[in-house]
Amino acid sequence: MSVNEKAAQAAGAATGPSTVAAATPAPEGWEPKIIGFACNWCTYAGADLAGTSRIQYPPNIRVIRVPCSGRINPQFVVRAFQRGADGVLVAGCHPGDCHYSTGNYFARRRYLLATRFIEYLGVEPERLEVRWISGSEGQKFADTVRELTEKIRALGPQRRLRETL
Amino acid sequence: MSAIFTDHQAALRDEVRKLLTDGTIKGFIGYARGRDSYHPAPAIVTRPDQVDGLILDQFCIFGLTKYLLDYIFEDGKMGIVAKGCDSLALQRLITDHRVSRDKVHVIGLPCAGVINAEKVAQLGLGNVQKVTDKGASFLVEGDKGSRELAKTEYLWDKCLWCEHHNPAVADSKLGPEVENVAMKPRDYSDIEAMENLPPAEKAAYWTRQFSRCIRCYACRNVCPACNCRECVFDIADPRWVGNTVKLSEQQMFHFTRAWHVAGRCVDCGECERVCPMELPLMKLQHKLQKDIVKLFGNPKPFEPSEVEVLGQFRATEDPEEFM
Amino acid sequence: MRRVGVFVCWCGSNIAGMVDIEQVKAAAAKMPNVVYVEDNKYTCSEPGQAAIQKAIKEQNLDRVVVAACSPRMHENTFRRTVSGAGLNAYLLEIANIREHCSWVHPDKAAGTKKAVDLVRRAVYKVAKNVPLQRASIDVTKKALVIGGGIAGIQAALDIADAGQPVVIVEKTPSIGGHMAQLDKTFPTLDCSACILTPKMVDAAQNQNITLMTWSEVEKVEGYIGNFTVTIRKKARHIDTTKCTGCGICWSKCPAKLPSEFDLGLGQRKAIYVPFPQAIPNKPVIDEKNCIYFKTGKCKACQIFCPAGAIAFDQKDELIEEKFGAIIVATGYEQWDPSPYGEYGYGRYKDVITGLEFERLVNASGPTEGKIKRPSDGKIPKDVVIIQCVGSRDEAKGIPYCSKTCCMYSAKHAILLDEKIHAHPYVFYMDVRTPGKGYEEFYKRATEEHHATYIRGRVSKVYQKGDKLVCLGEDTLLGKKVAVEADMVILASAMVHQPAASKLAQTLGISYDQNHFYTEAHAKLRPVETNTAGIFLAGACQGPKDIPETVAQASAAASKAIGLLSKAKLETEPLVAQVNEGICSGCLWCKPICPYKAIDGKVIKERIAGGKTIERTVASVNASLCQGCGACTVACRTGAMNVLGFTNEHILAEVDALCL
Repeated sequence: MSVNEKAAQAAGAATGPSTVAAATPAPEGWEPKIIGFACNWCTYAGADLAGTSRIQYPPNIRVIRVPCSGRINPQFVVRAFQRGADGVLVAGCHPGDCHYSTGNYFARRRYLLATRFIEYLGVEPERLEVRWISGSEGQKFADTVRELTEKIRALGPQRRLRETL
Repeated sequence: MSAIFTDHQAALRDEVRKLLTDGTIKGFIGYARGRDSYHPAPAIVTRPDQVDGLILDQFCIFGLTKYLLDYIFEDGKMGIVAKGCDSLALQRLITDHRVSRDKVHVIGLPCAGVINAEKVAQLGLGNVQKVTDKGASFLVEGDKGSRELAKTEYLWDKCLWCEHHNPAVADSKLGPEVENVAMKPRDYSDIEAMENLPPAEKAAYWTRQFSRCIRCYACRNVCPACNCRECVFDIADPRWVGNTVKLSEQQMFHFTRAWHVAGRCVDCGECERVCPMELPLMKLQHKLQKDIVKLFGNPKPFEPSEVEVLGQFRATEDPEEFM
Repeated sequence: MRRVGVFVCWCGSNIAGMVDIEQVKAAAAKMPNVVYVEDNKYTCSEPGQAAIQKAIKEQNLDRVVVAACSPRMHENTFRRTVSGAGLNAYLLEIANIREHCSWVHPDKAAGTKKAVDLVRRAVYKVAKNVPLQRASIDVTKKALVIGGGIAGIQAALDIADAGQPVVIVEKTPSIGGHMAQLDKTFPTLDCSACILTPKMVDAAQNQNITLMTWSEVEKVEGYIGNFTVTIRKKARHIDTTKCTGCGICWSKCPAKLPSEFDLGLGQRKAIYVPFPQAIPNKPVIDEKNCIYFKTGKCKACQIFCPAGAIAFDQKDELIEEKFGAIIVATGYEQWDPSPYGEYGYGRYKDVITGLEFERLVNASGPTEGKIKRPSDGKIPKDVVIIQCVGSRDEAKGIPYCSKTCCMYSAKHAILLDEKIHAHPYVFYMDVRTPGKGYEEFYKRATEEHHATYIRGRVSKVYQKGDKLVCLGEDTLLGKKVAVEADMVILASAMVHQPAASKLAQTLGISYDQNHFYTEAHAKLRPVETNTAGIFLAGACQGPKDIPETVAQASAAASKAIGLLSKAKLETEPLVAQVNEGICSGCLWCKPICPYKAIDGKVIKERIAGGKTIERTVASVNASLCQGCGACTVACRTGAMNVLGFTNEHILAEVDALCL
């Protein structure tokens, strides 16, 4: 341990494993807040299809429409966590089906790396879900949201990257 | 492997003098003596009579290439001295189209390792007079004593696994090339240990680290891959990362910085070395690079290439985890 | 301070039944910048739209949020609504509170809470919207067709018929392509030349078509509507304005060479037209093999030419021309089956490829249509046809199915029986006959023409006397078979043109692992490339038979005609944009763009001290950009943005939803 680290610990700035935020119970009435980033051509259309097919899923997700999964900067994901999202869904067309032909391939590389990195920083891996959901997969969209909501409900509120006042 | 920088000091001065005199370069970025014999300082000389102030010694760890960014809009060439690691930093700047190769005259410095001055300075040897290469160790003679120091213990960590002993970019070289083998294999065990911690312990560790950050931006300023004309952290609209000093912004800052360097890091380790709060910043870059090697099969993750790893894809060979 | 109006739609009971409209309205009224809130039974109806327009005027709104159904449903409707009221169409955002909310969340309280969040997202986003204008660019009303095979000819004829000028660039001396080499065509067995040559003549005589044979595309610059193409017109050494195509020159030429058109089964001269019906019917001099070019002596052609058309000193010409659209129709090449050493191709003269057989059976071919063995001229009695030579074989050949071989093998079987009563044996892995009349045609081969189909691969072909013994296995019967044949035909695969990747790079289009050109969308945009204004026709995109090729050629032509018939091209404003002030010019955005819309450009700038400097920044060609935004993520500083989906927008949306 370096001099500064020692000093920091002595000053009480450090949070030891025993006092980790995630261990604290969720407040009364807490509902998972999930931000979804969905490409316009596949996943957003898939979510629309879930709607027209009246496939029910938990109301915890709010979707932001973007042109392509290649548009979804991992910094947006971390921003969502910082602003208090408990989970994030990043979704786009299946590989080979991208409306712009290659956007999701770049997204795949970025998120293969970013998911691991965000996990490395101490965010539970279950909180960031990346999925290919096509325009015809309304059921898959609903299922994905349901599973993600349940996983996050079990984990409790995301406090790792959250902004505190 | 033997390469004592001081042995090349006179040759360096001669060459810089010649380059300045014949007008090949209009200035030279090198090292001068700093506050003590352990801490050289960067020096920019523009006249032949200043050349004798230039030094080379076994403590010249820091890269100089980022100073080139101050000269990109000026006429004429700048000269620079570069070790293997520094030459990768220079390649980074060239590949990012920030520095034009034809505006730099590079004097390459084959290097078998740089001594970690912070460790040696605590040994009480006084002002260092001479360093001799004894193979597996350096003999460091100071005015208050001398010690033979094992390389494996007293070199900078990055020098131990370095595979770029000889400059990749150079117009001339000081001394013969040295044998280009790592003293020990690159070791990601610290990264793996971190990966194996439960999320709460990872969180606790990084909270401990990031909460110390004072947002001085030294890591950014020294990084050869952080070479944007305007840095995202200085742009007010949109403000990607708030500039108040609080944990969540510190985390945002370090995530963003590491992410921006992902696949572009040259492993010079300068961010971590200059951090006044001793944040283990290379633990972030090494994690990213380790995954890049594993996921995308890039065998040379620290060498700047024509297309960066996140600027390409392989449709069928890239791992598929998101079905 | 913005003046945002929020219009909450009931969609009858579709939304109102599951979302408390009053609560949404009350919450919206408290959101920043919102000055007006209204609800409507059906916002998309005429009264609903009129209400928005009225409110824009009366309330002096400068931004509009419609909380209703999916933007994929009515975004364009409401864009027209707001622009009808004098507001820029892009100062609108939709909150999708039907598909994403009322239709999927039966809990009214939770649904209402979510609807409020979705409205807040739209309100925060719309505040960052700026007026956007559609731009327009001119269109050069001329098309370029690369390749003069059936695909290129068909595409050119269609474009010319629509009244647009078109240039065909063909690298060989004549148009016609592979179809000109074929004898009969399946499944109708009409003669290939009989249906092709009239089209070739039409192309030559059409006032709107310019033929540039013996020419190649050298360089392509520009973008949709405005391509500048450099074409190399190779030296023909013939003054085509004087040449009458009388043929005296090639009858007098002493240099004899194997004919490419006849696949080496016949001969041509050093001055030659590749085949009798060639168009143009004007020869070229093969510089490499012409005796005059090699030794400086001969000139027989010049001496005998009655028109004085021989021009030895002719040089290659580079012609630069502008085009609005490009159709790539460069076709395929027959795969060389030499890697199958066990079939003895190249070792036994009587082992030939399918295309070689076409020349043997063709009346204008080297044997004048008599099916004779290349080795001794005997008429074969038993002929083995081996299917899938190269196709569907990742180890030795290519992974894909060449699609045409099953049918042309059936055709060869029929022709063998019809013409010389030879017995055809067909070794196959599968017989694939998906096409109109194809299965019937295959049945005819087996039933009427008694072709013996054997399911299995031939493992070895060896000579025994003057016979070729084909050893194989009948996998249906599970026993070894040996057929003593007089001739073996290899149904060799269709592969890419050797220079396909080079042309792709010249054009800036992409190609797959088999070097076939990639369409913009496998299902929905099969004739377009990812480079706007460049279209694909025929086998350069993948193996195809003639009807499919012609259909695709006409489809590509109609796309080109659609493009050329526009006076101006309107460009969608939701494209990438560079903030040059902060762009570092690293250009890491460039390789990510699938449309090659990004390039560096040099700008001049005054810096502190009054000096003017030059620096490189990224530049987006708005006519090529489709607005995917993949480039933006590569930009660390945020200099690259996509209008309508900017970083500012998305960060604001994240913030709004996390409140």
